[in-house]
Amino acid sequence: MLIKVKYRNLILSVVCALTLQGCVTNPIKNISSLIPGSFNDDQPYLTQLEAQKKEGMKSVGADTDRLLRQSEGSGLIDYQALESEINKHFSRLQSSSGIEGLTGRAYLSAERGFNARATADGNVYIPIEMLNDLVSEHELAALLSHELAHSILNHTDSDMLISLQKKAMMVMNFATSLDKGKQTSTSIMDSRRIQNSMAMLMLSDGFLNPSWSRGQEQVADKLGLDILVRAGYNPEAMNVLLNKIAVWELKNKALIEEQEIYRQAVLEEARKNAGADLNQQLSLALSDAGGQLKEMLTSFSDSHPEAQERIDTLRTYSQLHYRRAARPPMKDTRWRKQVKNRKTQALIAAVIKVKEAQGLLSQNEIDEASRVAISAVNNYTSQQNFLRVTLLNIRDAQGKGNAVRANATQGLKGKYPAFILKYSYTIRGINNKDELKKRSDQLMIAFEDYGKPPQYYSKMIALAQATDNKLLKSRLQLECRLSYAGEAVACDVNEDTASQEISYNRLINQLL
Amino acid sequence: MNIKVSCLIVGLSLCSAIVSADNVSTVNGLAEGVTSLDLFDATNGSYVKTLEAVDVNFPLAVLEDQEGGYVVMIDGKKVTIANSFVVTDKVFDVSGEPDCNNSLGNNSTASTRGITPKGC
Repeated sequence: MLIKVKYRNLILSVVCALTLQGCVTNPIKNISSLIPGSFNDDQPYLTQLEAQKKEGMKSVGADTDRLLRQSEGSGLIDYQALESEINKHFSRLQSSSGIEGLTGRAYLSAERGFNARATADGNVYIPIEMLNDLVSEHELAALLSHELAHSILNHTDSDMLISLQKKAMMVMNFATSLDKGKQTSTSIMDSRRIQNSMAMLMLSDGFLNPSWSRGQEQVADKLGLDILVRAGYNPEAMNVLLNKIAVWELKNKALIEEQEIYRQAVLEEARKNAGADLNQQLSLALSDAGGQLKEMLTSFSDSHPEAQERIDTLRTYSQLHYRRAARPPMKDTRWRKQVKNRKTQALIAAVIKVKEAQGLLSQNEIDEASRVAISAVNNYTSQQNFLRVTLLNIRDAQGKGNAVRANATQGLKGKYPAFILKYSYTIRGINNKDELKKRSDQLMIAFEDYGKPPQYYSKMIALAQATDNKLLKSRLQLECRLSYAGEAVACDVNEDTASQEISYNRLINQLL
Repeated sequence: MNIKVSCLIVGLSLCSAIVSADNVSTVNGLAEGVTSLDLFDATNGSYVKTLEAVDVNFPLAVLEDQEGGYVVMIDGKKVTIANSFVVTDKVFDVSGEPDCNNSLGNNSTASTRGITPKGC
C-alpha cells in the first residue's frame, strides 16, 4: 500500500515538474494568433490569411484523429454514399479556400442533436440526426465552411491553456493535500482551498473567457462565409444556419436552466444545513480572480442569445462584402432525397433508439435496454458500430460472454469499429495465461494504431497487470497521467473515470 | 352537414399544407442597419437592382420561400430578396432535442470547435 502511494506520488511529482516547466511547446508564443479581433473587417478575412495552414498544437494526424473518434461515445456511422456526398462539398470548400496544407474529412457521428464539431486535424464530425435540419446542400456547405474556418485558424489551440490550467490545478490540489496533512486546524486551509479552486476552475472552464470563445465563433462565421461564397454557394445559407442555431440555443438554454434551478435549490439547502456560508465563499472566490469573474457570470446568465449576436454581426459583414453576390435558390431536391431516403432515416431512428437503450443501461434496466437495442437491428444497422458496442455492453452486463464476442465480431465488419470491439474480440474468454499474454501484445499494437483512446488506458493497464507485465503497466500509467491529468480519464485499474476530472461543476457538486 | 364538414377538413388540410410547405407569408421590413433592398433574379439568383427603403411598400407577400431568400412581386415582376436583410414572419425550427448525454464533443477529452455551444 505504502509502495503504491509512493509510486503515485512519484508520478504526480513528474507531472508537477513537467507542468510547472511547461511540458507543452511554448503555448504562450501562440496566444497572439488566437486572440479574436486580429482581423480587419474592411477586407474579407480570407484575403488576410497566409497561404499555408500552420499545424495545430493539438494535432495528432487526421487518420489518428478519426480512429480516436471511432472509439469515443457512440462512434462513427458507416454510410459511404452519404459520407462521399458530404465530402464532395467539403473538398470543394477546402480547395476554394486557396489555403494549402488542409487535411481532414467529414464524417457522420452516431450522435443526436445540432452540434457538429471540428478537430485540430481538420476532421468534421456531424451528428447524423442533424442532417434532418439541413434543408439544402448550401446549408450543409455553410456548416462545413464554418468548421473548416475553425480548423484553418487553429482555434482548438486555445484549449491548450485550459488543459494546462487543469494540470496546474491538479498540482495545486496535490500540494494542498500534502500541506493539509501537516495542519492541525484545517478550516482556514479548506476555506482558502475552496476559494482558490473556484477561481481557477472558473478560469479553466471558460467562465472567464466567454467573450473569447464568442469571438472565435464570430470569426469562424465570417471566414466561413468568405469560403462559402468563393466556392459558389448562396451566402444566405450561413444566415439560415445561424437562425437554426438560435432555436437550438433556446432549447438548450431551457434544459440548462432546468438543471440549474435544481442545483440552486440543493445548494441553498446545503448552505442552510452545513452552517458554512457558501454564498460568501463563492463571493470570495469571485473577488479573488478580480471583478471580471462577476461580470462574466452575469453575462453567462444573460438571456440575450449568443446566436442573435452572431446573426447581427454576420449581416453587417455580409452587407459590406457580399451584398450583391448571387443568391441561387437553395431548394435542391437531390440532397433532400438523400437525407429523406429509407437508409438515412433508418440510421437516424436507430441512433435515437440506441441512445435510449444506453440510457436504460446506465440506469441498470438491462432487460429493457436489450429490448430497445434489439428493436434497432435491421439490414442498415446490423454492422454499425454504435449498435454493436451498445449490444456488447448490454450482453456484458448480462454476463453473456459468447454474445459479447459475437457482437464484437459483427461490429468489426463495419468500416469504423471502436477499440472496445477489437479488445473484446481479442481477449474475451481467453483464460490461458500464455495465450492471454500473446493476445495482449497484439492488443497493445492495436491500441497504438487506434491513437491510444484515453478511455481504454485503465483496461490496458488491467491487462498488463493480469499478464504480469510490470514495465508496460508503469509505462501506461505514467503516460496516461502525463497526458490526461485533471481530465475524466482513469489511469489505474480501480480508478473511477468521472472522479478524475477537475471541473467547476464537479467541485460545486462535491460541495453539496 | 357532411358537405360542410368535408369542406372544412379540405380547407384545413390545404391551410396546413401551405404552412408546412412555406413557413413564411410576409416580409415586414428591412433588418436593423439595412437601408436599401437588393433584388435578385428569382430563377438564378443573380443581382438585379437596389431599391431605397422609401420606395418599397412593406409588407410584401411571399410567393415562394427559397430557403435563402423570398420570392416577392415588385413592380409586377417576381424577384428574390435575401433573407438576412429583411424581417419576416418566418419561424425557424430544428427537429432534434438537446441531449446532455451526447458524448461526442460534449464529454470529449479532445479539443473540438462546433457550430453551437457545447450546451449541457
